[in-house]
Amino acid sequence: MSAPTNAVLDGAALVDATGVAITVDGVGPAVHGVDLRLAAGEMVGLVGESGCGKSLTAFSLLGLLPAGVRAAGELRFAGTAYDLAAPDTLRPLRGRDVAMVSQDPLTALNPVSRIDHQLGDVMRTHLDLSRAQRRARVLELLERVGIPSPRRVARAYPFELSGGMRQRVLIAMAISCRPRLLIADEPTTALDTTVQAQIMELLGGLVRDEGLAMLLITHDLGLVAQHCSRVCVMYAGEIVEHGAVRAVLDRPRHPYARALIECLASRDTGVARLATIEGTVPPVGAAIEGCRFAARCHYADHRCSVTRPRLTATGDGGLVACLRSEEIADE
Amino acid sequence: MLVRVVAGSARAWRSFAWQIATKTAQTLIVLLGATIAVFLMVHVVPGDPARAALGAQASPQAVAELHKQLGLDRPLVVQYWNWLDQAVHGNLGRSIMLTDPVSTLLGQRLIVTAQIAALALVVSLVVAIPASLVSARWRGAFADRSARVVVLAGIAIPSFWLALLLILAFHSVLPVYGYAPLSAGVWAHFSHLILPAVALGAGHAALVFEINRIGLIEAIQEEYVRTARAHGIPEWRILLRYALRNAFLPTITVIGVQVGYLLGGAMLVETVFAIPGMGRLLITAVTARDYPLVQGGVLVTVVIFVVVNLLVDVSYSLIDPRVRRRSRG
Amino acid sequence: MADTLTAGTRRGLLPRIRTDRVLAVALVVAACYVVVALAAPVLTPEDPNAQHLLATLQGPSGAHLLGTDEYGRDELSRLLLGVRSSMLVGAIVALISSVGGLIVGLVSGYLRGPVDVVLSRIVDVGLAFPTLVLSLALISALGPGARSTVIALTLGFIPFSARVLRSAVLRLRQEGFIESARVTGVHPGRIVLRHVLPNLLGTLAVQTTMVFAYALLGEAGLSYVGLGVQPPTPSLGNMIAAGQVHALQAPRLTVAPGLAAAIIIMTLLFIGDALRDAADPLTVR
Repeated sequence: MSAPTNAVLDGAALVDATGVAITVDGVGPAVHGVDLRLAAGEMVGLVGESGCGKSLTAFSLLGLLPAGVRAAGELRFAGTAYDLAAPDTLRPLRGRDVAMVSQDPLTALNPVSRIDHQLGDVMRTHLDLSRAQRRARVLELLERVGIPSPRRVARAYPFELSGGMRQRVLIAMAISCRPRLLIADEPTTALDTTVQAQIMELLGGLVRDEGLAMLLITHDLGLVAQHCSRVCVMYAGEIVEHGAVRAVLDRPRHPYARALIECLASRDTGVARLATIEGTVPPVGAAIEGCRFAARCHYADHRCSVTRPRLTATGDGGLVACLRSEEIADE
Repeated sequence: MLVRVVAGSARAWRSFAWQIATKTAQTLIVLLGATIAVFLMVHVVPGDPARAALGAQASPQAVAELHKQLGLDRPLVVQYWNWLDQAVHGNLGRSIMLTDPVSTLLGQRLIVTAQIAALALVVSLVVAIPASLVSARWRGAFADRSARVVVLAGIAIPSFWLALLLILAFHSVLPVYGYAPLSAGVWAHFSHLILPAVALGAGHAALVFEINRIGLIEAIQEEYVRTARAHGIPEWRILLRYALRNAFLPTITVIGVQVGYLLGGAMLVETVFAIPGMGRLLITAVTARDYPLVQGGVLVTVVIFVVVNLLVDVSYSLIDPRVRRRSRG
Repeated sequence: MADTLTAGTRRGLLPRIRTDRVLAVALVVAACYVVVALAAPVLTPEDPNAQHLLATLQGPSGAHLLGTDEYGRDELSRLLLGVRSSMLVGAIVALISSVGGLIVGLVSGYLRGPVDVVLSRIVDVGLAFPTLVLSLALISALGPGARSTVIALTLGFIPFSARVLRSAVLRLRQEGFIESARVTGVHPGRIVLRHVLPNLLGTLAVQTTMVFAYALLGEAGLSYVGLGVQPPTPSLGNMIAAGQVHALQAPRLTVAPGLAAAIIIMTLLFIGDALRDAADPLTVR
C-alpha cells in the first residue's frame, strides 16, 4: 500500500498512518491496509456504513482495540513513528496528543463521579497543574465548549445533564490537554437534530480556531459535506475513494460513494421513496476475490469479480479504487 | 437541561428523606412480623414450654408453678402483648437455667460476638476487594481461575470445620480457646480473636469477591472506562476510581445482607473456640430449652440484622449520587 | 419462546459436559454421593455402630481404611452412613422448600394484588431471620433431632426460594405468549400449568441445587452443635464434633467428615452455577 496517498494534502502531515490492517482473532481481517493523513487545522471525514471498519481504524490509532482484535501498520505522529501492532506504545499519545469524542455521551461518563473530578483526572494525568489551576481550567474549558453555567455543571453528576451537555463535557475533556488530533466517532448520532448542529458547530470551531486536526467518523455524508475539507470513503475494510469533499460530492468516481451520495440527495429532497443501497457489507473474514463491492454494484461487469481494483490517482488529485471509475464519473 | 440541576437539590433532598422514611416504615413492619414469629415459634408448638424446660422428671407442681410464673395460663394475645411491651422496654424476661435477666446475659455476650463479626468483616474485605481487582484486571488468567476455585471452596467449607483446621494448623502459635478481655492486654485480647475471625470471614470473603469481581468485569466493559482509557488515564486509577467505585455499590448491599450470616456463623465458630459470645449462649439455651433466653437471643439477632440492612440501604443511597440526587417526578 | 427457556436448560447442560471437564467431574462426584446415600447400608465394610473398645483410635489399616474412632468403630463405615444421613436431610430440605417456594412464588407472582402483598410481607419477615438463627429458634421448640432439623431448615429456605421464584414468575408474566393467553381468556390454572410452570423449571433446578448445598451446610452446623442428627446415628456434622475431641491425636476423624461435606457442597454449588449459566447464558462469569 505505498500508492502516492494523496495529492490533496500538501506539505508535512501531522498524522500519517500507513498500512493500517486489523484482524479479528479467529474470524479474519477486518481492515485491509488503510492509509490516512491529516494536517493540523483540517477536518477529514471517514465515511461508510456500519461494519465497514471505520471505527476499528480509528480505535487502532489510539491502541484501544477490544481484546482479540489486533492491528498492524505504522503511525507517524508529528514526526515520531509508532508501531500500531504494539498498542501500549501508543499510551503516551492518548489524552495528551490524541483525544477522542465518543459516540454515546450518555454512557461515556463515569456515573458516580462529578464532572470536575472527571475532567481533573485527565489533566492530572497529563498536565503539571496545581489543584487551583486545575479547578480554574475546568471552568475555562466548560465555558469554551459553550456550557452556560460552568460552575454548577462542574459540580454536577452526569445523570443531571442532558445528552447535548454531556457531549459538550466530553469535548471539554478531549481538549483539556490541548491535543493536536481529535478523533470524533459519530459524535452526534445519539443527539437531537438541533443539538447535533450545535455540537458540530463547536467541533468545527475548534478546528478553525485552535488548529486541531480532526478525524470525523460518520455514516452521514451531509455532516461531511458541511464541515470537512477532505473525505475518505470506506467500504469493507478499505478506502475506496478519497478526495476533496467538493470533488467527491460533485463527481464521485466510485459506485459506492455515488450510492451514498444518492441516498443523501434523496433524503434532502424528500423523495417519496428513500434511495438505499441494496444488500449489506460483507462480513468480516469473508473471502472475496476481485472488488469487495462488486456484489452490490450496478456497474459491476465480469472483470470486477476477478480483479481487485487498486487505489489510483484521479485527474483532480483524488484517489479511487474502481476498475470502471472513469466511465462512472462521466455519467 | 440546566433547569434540572437548579431545581434538583431541594426537591431531591425532600425525596431522599421520603425514601428513608419509607424504608424505615417497611423495616418496622418486618420487625413487627418478626416479633410475632419469634413469639409464636415457642408458643404454638405442642407441649408445655414449662414442662420442656424442666424435663420429664419434674414434679407436676413445679411445672404448674413455672407455667404460672411465665404467664402461660393467659390468652395468647395477652401473652404476646405483655411480652412485646416488656421487650420494647428492654425487659426480655429471666433465663430459666441461669435465672439472670435475659437482657443482661445477652448484653455481656453481644459485645464479644460483635467484635468477632466485625473483625471477620474487616478480614474479608481486606482480602476480597484487592483479590477481586486482580482477578477482574487479568480476567481468565491463572490467578483469576485459581481464585474462583478458592472462592467456591470458601463458600462450601463449613466455617466451624475451617475453624478446626485452623486450630490444627496454628494451635502452637495462637490461642485457640476462650476469650480474653481487653483488660488482659491488647495482644492477648486480639490474639484470641484472630482465628475465629478468619474462620468466620472466609466464606464472607468468598461472596464479596464473587460479587465484586462480576461488578468490576461489567464496569470495565462500560463506555466510560473506554473514555478514560482513550484519555490516557492510568489503568490502576481506572480500576480504582472508575470500575471499583461503580462495582462496589452493589457489593455494599451484599455485605449488608451477609451481616446476618456472620452473626449466624459466629454461633458455630464461638462453639469451636469456646468463646463466651451470644451465639454460644443461644445454642446452650436451645439445648436446655430455656425459651425466654432463646426468644430474647433470636429477637436481638433479628433486630440487629434488620437494622443493619436498613442502615446499609440508607448509606447506599447516600453514596450513590443517582439515588441521592434524583428527584422523583 | 414458550419452550426456549426450559429447552435451553436441557440442551445447554449436556453439550457443556463434553467441553467442560470440571463439570463432568462434578457430575460424577455428585453421582457417587447419591449412590453412597442410597446404598450406604450395603456398602459399609462393617457395622458402623459395632464398638471395639480394645481397638479405639487406631490409624488407617487394611481392615479399617480410615482407622477407628474413640469407640473402636470403623470410621469409613460411619463416614458412608454419615454421608447418607446428611444427603437425605439436604435432599428432603431442598425438595420440600423448592416445592413450598414454588407454590408461594406462583400464587404471589401470578395472582398479584392483596394476596401477593400479604405473602411478600411474610416472606420479608422470613428473610429477616438468618437461616441458622431461625433454625435454632424452631429446634428449641421442636426439640433436637433429624426431623426437627429438616423442618427448621425447610422453613428457613422457603422464603429464599419463594422470593427467587416470584420474581421469575413476574418476569414470565410479561412475556408475550402468557399475556396473549391471559387476554384470550384461558383459565389461569391452565396458563400456570401449560406456560408458566414449564418455563420455571430452569430456575427451579438452579434454586433446588443451591438450597441442597446450603442445607448440607446447615445440617452440618446444627448437628455439630448437637441439635441436628443425634448420635449414635452418624452425620457429617456430628462426626466432626465427635472427632474434634481427638483432633490432635487423630486429625483424620475431623478432617475426613469435613472434607466429605466440603466436597459435595462445592460440587453442588458448581453444578448450580453451571445450570444457571445454561439457563441464562448472558450473566458474567
